[in-house]
Amino acid sequence: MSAMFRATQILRADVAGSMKSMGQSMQNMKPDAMKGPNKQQDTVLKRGARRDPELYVLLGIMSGAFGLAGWYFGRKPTSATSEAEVSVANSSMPWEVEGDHDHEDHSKHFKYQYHPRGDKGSTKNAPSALNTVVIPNVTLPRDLRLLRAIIRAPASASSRTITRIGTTTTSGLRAPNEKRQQTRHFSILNRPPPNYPGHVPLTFIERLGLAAGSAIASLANPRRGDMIAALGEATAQPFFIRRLKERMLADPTGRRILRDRPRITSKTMSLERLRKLPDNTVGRTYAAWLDREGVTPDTRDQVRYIDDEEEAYVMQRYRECHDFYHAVTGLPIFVEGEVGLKAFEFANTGLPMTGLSLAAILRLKPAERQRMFETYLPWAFSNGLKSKDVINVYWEEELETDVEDLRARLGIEQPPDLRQTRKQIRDAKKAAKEAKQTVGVDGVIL
Amino acid sequence: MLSRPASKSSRYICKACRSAINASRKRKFGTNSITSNPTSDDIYDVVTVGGGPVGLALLAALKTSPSTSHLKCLLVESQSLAKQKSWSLPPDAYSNRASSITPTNQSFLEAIEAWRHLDLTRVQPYDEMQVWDAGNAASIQFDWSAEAIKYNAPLRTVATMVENSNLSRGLLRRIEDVGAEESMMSGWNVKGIGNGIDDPEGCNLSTWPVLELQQIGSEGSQNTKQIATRLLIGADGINSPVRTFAGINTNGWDYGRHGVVATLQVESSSDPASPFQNSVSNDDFDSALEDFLSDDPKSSSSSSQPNFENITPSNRATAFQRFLPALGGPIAILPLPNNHASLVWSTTPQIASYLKSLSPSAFTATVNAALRLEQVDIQYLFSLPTTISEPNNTSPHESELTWRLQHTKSTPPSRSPPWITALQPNTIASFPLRLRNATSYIAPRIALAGDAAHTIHPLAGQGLNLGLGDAECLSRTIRYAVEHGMDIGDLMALQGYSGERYAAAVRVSTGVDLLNKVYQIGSGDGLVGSLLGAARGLGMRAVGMVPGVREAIMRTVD
Repeated sequence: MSAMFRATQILRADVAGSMKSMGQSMQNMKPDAMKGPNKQQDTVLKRGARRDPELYVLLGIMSGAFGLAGWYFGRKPTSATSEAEVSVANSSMPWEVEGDHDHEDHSKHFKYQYHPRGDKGSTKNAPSALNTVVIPNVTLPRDLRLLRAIIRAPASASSRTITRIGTTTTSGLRAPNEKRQQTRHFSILNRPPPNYPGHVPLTFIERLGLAAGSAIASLANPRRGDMIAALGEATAQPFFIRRLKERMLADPTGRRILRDRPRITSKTMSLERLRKLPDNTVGRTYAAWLDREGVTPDTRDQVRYIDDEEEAYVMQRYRECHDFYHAVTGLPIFVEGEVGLKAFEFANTGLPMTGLSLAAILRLKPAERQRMFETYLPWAFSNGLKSKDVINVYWEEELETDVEDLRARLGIEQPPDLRQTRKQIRDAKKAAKEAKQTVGVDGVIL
Repeated sequence: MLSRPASKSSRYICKACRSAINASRKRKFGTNSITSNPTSDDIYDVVTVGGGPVGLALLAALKTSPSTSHLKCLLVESQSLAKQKSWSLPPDAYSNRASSITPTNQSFLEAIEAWRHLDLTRVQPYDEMQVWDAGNAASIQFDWSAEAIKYNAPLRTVATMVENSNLSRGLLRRIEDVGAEESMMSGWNVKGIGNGIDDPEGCNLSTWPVLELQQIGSEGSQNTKQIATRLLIGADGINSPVRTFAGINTNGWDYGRHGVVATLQVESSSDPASPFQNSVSNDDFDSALEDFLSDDPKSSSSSSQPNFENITPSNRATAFQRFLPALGGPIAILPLPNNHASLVWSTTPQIASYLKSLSPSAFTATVNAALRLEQVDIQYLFSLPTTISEPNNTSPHESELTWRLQHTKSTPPSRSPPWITALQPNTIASFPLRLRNATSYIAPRIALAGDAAHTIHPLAGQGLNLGLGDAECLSRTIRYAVEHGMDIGDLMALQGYSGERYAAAVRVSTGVDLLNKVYQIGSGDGLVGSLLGAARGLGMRAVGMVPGVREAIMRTVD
């Protein structure tokens, strides 16, 4: 042992010496000197180990200790306090002992028992509250409503959360959609089934995002009809579209429309037939307007984001009749005319999208804006508020009526023809510009 | 009952002065031709004018209690009480005037032993009241289930539906039982009320009310009587002559609404609606729970599916009330035995007359619509023609109802209202709704009870209950006065009655009136109306969710 200590001393002295020599060799900076430090470091290490052999011993002991501890604690992680080896007498937990039921000695009956249905002859064990685990299945079948009540324990014991489904009747006059309450919360991962073909149910945040995004997109490019449509659907719920539906339900013609559910497509509105109608009829005006603007009845999107099926139809009807409103008022299809018509629709139907579309006034040229504020907005609001609901017009039946008649019946005055006005202004400007050019500079005629 | 003899009275006031006092008469009603006091045969202790349930209950209570059974009582009623006594209807026909009696009043009727004389097969106790609003999706449920669950007890009755005629007949039977048949004068009208005179040779009845009665059917002065009474009780309805005689004014207003009543037949639900069917709910609950949680393999097989239909602790019947703000008031369906129900619909006079003109099938379709559809649809139904023009004899109301039911979302209350199948013929009637409260319920030797004192909106079914409460309190007050040697007609003796009943009646009538007003604002469509409707819904949900508020409300009308 004393030899080892002596070795230590020598090694320390050697290390000091070799450090000095290492420093010298670093100063040389010769290529073959690069191998030198490595070799010397290796040497230092080996020397260190030889100098302190107790390090090996320490390493060995520590590894052994930790390894032993890890093995001991790691071998049975869940049964570290297992009671399996605890020996327990058979009758030490009497509630678990299956007693002799025929025995008359009731002192030996330790399990909780009761007489089912009050029948004193038979006894049954009460279900164990300790060992029975009820795992809720969130989409329970209908006849396990009791369990659903336990799972969704009401906040106060006095409120009832079970919805009774209406009993079937022979007369069949029963609301079939007295649905039971949904068991799971509507989220992105758990969308309810669609209420009509093409329906996309949206959560509140999704609807908010759709409203904001489509508002920005339609302001940036008012030609994006699909964005305007999406904005309309996102903002109409829950109140405005319901109010429009109720206005339809309050009117006899509107109710008929909701019963019949007519659709305006190029198949149902045959344009050839409409073109043949006399000149002053609604149908002819509609066909002429479609031809003048170069659109067809099929350019309207399907309603997707409105949840109630009837309200979705109301929105679809409103969208499809939009061209008829153009025809009856005579407003053209470019932005100025659309904005004027949207103002009229806002005053008449109350849908928020029509009101929000008025923000497009910011995009108009100054002359157009002036025309808007002076003429078309006052016309739109005064007429929209005092006229009858245009949503309640059964257009399919009004195709052969006189346009003036219909306007008088609805109470709509026709605004000044915007196309004419703009054409006149354009012509006047062109004439003025030509006149200025022909005069020329220095009186020279060009 | 006679005052001191004439010789003694002249010791204090001389005859001349007494005659002078005679000359000034203060209170009178109608023609007062009282020149002499009635004889002792016609001097009574308690005279009740009005033979409705309140007057009869008071008479029965006075005759039942041993302290007051010796009082000389009289009940004057203009209609025939014999006809009332012999009222009977077959078991599947129910009168359209039915009231819901609270448990307190039921105990009162049991205490005067009148309850057992009612035909108990025709009364329907109900355990739950479902209230919801057409303007929003909130609903509230009044029942004692919280207590039943907490104390593991059967459900306490919320109220019992009793036909008014059944109640009157029961009370008349009790009065006959007690031997007080002679105390009733039916078929007599009160022609006038005045005060007696201070007879120098007789009694000083100048402060005593003297009624002039005339038998109905005889004109002129045949068959008239004059009776004097120590205490005159007016239980004679909203236009009470006794109240007018006492000079008591009323405050109040007309609601401008009519209450349409009818008797309906409803479809039986799987819940037992009659107390006389086997109540199976509790046992079903036990067996269902035990089957589900047991470890037996048989319970998991589909052949023995547990029946979870009745999981509520034995509910016998449910009363339903839906508020319809746009149509003038609530519609209430109150259960009667054997799958019948009583309808009370408070609505505008125009709608009331329209409803009365409908055919039975159209009427039932409209009532079903009023319980399920949106208000705009119900309003549209009122614009349909009442004559049937369809070929297969269905009214347009029914076809509208069928169509709109497909597009109406499910109704909010957790127990859906019953489906009305038929209308009992000749039971549609309507009455105007008014609020009246007398400025005082007592005056010297006068007490008012029942509708003479207060009339309220039928929203909560409390009108008759307040009247029966009055009868109970008044009988107790008279008993106290007799037991303590007081003059039962003295104002001080009656103060106890006024103190107890005035506050109670004002509380209930104000509460019901405020509730009615709350459910009348927001009756227009438009943004404001919808916002108010949403606010009401939040209020209703708040009342339902805060623990104890519902129980407090139920206790005030219990």
